[in-house]
Amino acid sequence: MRMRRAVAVLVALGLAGLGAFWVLTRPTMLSADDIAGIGPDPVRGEYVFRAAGCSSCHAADGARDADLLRLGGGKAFASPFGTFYAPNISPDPVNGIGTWTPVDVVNALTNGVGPGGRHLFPALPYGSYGKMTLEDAVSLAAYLPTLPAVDTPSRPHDVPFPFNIRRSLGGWKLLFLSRDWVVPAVPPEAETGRYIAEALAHCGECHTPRNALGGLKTGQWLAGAPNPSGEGNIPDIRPGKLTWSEADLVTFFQSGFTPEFDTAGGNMAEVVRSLGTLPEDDLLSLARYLKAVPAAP
Amino acid sequence: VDPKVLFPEGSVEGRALPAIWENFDDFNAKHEALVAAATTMTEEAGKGLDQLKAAIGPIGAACGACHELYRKPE
Repeated sequence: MRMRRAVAVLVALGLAGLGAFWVLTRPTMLSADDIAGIGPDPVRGEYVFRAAGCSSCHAADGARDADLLRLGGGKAFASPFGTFYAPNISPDPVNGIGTWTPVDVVNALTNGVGPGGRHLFPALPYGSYGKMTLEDAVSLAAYLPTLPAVDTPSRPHDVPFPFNIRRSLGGWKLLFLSRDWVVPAVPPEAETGRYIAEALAHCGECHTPRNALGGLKTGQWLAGAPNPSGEGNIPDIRPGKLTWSEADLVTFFQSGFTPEFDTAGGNMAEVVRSLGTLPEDDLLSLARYLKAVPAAP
Repeated sequence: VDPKVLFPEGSVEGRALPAIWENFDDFNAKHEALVAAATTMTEEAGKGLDQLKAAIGPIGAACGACHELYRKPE
């Protein structure tokens, strides 16, 4: 009798747990009505596209110039959780996202949810993009369909169990996503830079170390991290480690030149290719933000 | 300078990636592009500061071409 009761209690607890998991891991989504009042700004859309570095991941490996606008995907991103392949996000209706509505794109970018309510893997840096304004997300959603359609099929991710359980990403989001600024107080002249760094250019996704579950250790913001693809380390860019002047930083963003007569390498060369096209004032604000983040001890 | 001497195959120290020796023809071509850009700059340097400034950009592009593909992060 006692045993049966214990089993009943356990079953009830288990069901309650499953129910809680189901509720807590539900995708958060916007509806078309939520963005109905927002008019897209095509000029801003291109700005967001460049600042967010969409081409760095979604264009083909080695793409240059006009090919940077062909977002057929295919680049591989190794991680401790498996290998992700950048999907085709060109306007192709079959193999790209040509059939997505604007709110589908906004949900993918800012909530990490695909059409139909499926959690997306955070290889798409929606932890950062979630901090962008709805106006910017809507403008980017309006810009993407102006790019050339590419008919390369997206390659499925190679992510083993248990990380392939999409629903568990709802829990991951609860644990690690925040819309608050990592650096709450910055001087006014660094606010644009903070928006670029934390929301659009998603600097922290590579330059900040991650915990065992892949969440960013925001207490060590921009402290550098092992390169997820296995070779070397992404540098610590906090004040105290990064000693370049604001002018040095702007030159670096624009040209890839460092004050040591070196050049940006690896993925940072890709970043420079798009980030460097932003207005100089915005890059200066980004440099000022880097001077305002908590310093290396 | 022959890049084969500067980058002996199988080097494990430093930041050289194995892709260097897998694509040595491309690596060599990029090296030659750097030599060409540097040669142009020496010619332009005698013409004035503005010409020198203009000739430095291609050098950076030539440096970056290898650093992007053939060098590990720090």
